[in-house]
Amino acid sequence: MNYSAIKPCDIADGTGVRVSLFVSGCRRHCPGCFNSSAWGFGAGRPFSKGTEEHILRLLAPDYISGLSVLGGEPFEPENRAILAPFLERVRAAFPAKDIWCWTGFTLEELEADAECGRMLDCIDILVDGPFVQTERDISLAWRGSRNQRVINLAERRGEAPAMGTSLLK
Amino acid sequence: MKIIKRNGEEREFDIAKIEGAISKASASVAAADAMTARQISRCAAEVGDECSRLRRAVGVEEIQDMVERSLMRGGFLAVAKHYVTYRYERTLARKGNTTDAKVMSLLDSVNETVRQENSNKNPTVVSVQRDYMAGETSRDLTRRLFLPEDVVKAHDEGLIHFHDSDYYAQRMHNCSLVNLDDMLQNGTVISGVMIERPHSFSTACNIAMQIVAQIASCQYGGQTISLTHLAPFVDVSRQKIRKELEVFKLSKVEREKMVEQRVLEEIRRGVQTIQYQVVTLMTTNGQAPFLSVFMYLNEAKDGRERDDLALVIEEVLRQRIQGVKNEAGVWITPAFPKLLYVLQEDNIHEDDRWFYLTRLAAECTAKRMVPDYISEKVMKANKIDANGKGQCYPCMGCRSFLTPYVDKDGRPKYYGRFNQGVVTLNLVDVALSADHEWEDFWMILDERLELCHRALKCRHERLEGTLSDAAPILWRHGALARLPRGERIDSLLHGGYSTLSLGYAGLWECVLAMTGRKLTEPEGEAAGLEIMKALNSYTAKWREAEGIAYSLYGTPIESTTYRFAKCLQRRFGIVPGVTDKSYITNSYHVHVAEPVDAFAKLALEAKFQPLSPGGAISYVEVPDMKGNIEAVLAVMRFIYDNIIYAELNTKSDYCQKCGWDGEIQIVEQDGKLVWKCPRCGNTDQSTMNVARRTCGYIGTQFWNQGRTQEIKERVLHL
Repeated sequence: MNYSAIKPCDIADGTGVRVSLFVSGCRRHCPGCFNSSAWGFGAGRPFSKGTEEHILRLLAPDYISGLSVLGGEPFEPENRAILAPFLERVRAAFPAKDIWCWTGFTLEELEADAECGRMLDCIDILVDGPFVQTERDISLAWRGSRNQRVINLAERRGEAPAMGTSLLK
Repeated sequence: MKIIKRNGEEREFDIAKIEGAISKASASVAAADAMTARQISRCAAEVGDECSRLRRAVGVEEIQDMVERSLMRGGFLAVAKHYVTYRYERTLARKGNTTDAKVMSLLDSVNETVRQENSNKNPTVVSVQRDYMAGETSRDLTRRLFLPEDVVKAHDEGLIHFHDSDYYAQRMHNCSLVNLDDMLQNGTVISGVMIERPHSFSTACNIAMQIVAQIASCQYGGQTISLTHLAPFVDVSRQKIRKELEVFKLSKVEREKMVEQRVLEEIRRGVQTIQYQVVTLMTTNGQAPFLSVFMYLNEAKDGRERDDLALVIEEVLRQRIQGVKNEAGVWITPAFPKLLYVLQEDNIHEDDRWFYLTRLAAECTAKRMVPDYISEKVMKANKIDANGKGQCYPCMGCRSFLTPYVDKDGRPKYYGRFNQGVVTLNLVDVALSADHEWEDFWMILDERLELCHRALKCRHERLEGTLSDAAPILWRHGALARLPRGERIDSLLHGGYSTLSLGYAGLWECVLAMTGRKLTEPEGEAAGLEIMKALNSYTAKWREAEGIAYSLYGTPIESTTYRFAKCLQRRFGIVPGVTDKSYITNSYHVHVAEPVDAFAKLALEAKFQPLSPGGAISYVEVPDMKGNIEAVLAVMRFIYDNIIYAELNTKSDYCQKCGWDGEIQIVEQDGKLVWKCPRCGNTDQSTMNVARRTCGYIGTQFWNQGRTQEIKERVLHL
């Protein structure tokens, strides 16, 4: 897996101050995508063990409320294979911090695919659905078009609300 | 390209004027030394190029310096000599009367310098013009009669800045913490009328605003009042309401419910009085009072009083979130009062009793840029008084902090104290004068500080002998003291009761010039800290010798930043990273264009704040955060753990065409910077509301192209 960017202090992608990982590779190619430069699986730099360590270090300070995974498409099979164990590692290292993930698939599509279960189990908040340009609205929180949804997976699993998610409406 | 004339007026650059002046000088020398028309126009063109490289309006004096240099470089020495002589004679002629032209340009509303000087004053309004006219007279007297010539010269050359000379003639001081508690509890006198202890909360608020208005006309700097001093009157109102309701047959529960309802109504009325009076009052200084309101739960007595204070704080925050209506009936961000919120151990964690107030404060900051935040914990660790106790208290208006003090009975005292005034040292000039030699640096610093010291003593001595009658509200009726009629205020100027501030500016550029390193790099940081420690050793030495509370102060150099930058360019030319901008960096701050995240910036600047005991504020520049209050809270928690005093420059604008209330952006259109709504594309300034903090003050009137450029260049720290 390659990644196109890491933002160490991101406030635009999820509640609180977050570390954001933008993975490379997406086959969907939504017209008007905000990050089309990350469509190619070879875009950016290889995601190595060193990258993992770097992200874990960035996650450590108290003021960081969690990790956001964006793309590209985190649920492309190539990316899933790397992300699933990595997200499990983040969960174990920082049980009090939450994980947000943006995907072009719908939750229903992901749940129908057994291969996605490991990753879904680690994610607290999923923002799902393709970006649809005719539904674009810049005043929406955490999503680009009206068809997309912010789904609290942690709550569905019956876990205590993650940091900051109590503010989600 | 624009130039600024001597009287402050802005004019289009005209190369013919320069050619004319050189021609005149050339015509008066022997034919053999005279210049050809081509040589003249080449010289003038060179000056034109130099001006345009500076990318700002250039002063006439500067242009004349360039002409001189250009003539010398070209080898036209005889012409240069005549040009210099002519210039000198004109200077003498001008000395005859220095204020007429300035006053005239004020009255004709063509003075650009004044227009840009203070974002809170509108120089087209007659009452502001009166203040400015008085200011010009005071400035003139100060320069010619009150200050030693070398201080004036150092000021003119930009080595130091002698602040507020427009008020200096009148024996006025800078800023203060109002002893509102004493005035309300024990009564006061306003314009010869006795005002007794108020019988309700809303009356107390009303009186407080009358007091604030009076004080604002008696000093030129900001003032702070504490809500703690108003909180006891909530219960005064409660008792009164309860008594009024006794005539009705109600159950105790019903009655108490009704009482509390009416108490909240009373609080709402009082708080509204404060908000609307502050923004609508016009003082004799030609502006609304620079008022800060302190919100500190631990300052109130435990129990009823603190609970009532919490109610008042909540209402202040709610009303500020709503804003005030402008002329067009649109809710906007008011510039005043500034709000100061103290973060303390029982309002910072999610399950704390008072956390709901802190969350409300975060929402308010996201929407209205205030409150600013003081950490009780860090402040107490750094402000330790003679009893060995840590203290927490507000700044006076903007960012001036008093130094700890206990009265003769050993009791800590803050309200009723004040600052005498400021003289600021340009650290960048010291560094460039030293030219990388540390030995020279410390020597030049020593000379310049001696100059600052003498200038500060002028300030102090100007105040000495002031009679209590000069400003009765301050000196006789409780705001700062209760001296008898006809008494001198001298005792308040000594022994640490009031402070005298040595300001400094441009530590960032100073360190870069000396070490080639940024303040954000370890070597740069070490050099910066060493310089700050040295400055403190001087104030300590003066304090020791004279018993006057000299204190080091991170000056909010508003228009001075441009003046210093201009002077530096004149003296040293363009030095990359040091003099290549039309501003220099405030106090110890990290440069606005330096990419650094909010937490790293605050952590670094936290090391410098304790070394700036006379006052300092750190800020972080952030985008619209209304949708992410959790992130605002994360910054606030970091402030609580790390730094005394900080603020967030948030963005919350309003497009009247489409109702967008996020950030309105600056875009380039036809070579000009314009504000544009990202949702509907509106670029009509009259149908949008934009508020930005510049040098510590919230402005809402839009800015000139230079300042707009600076705002656009700001790096976001989150």
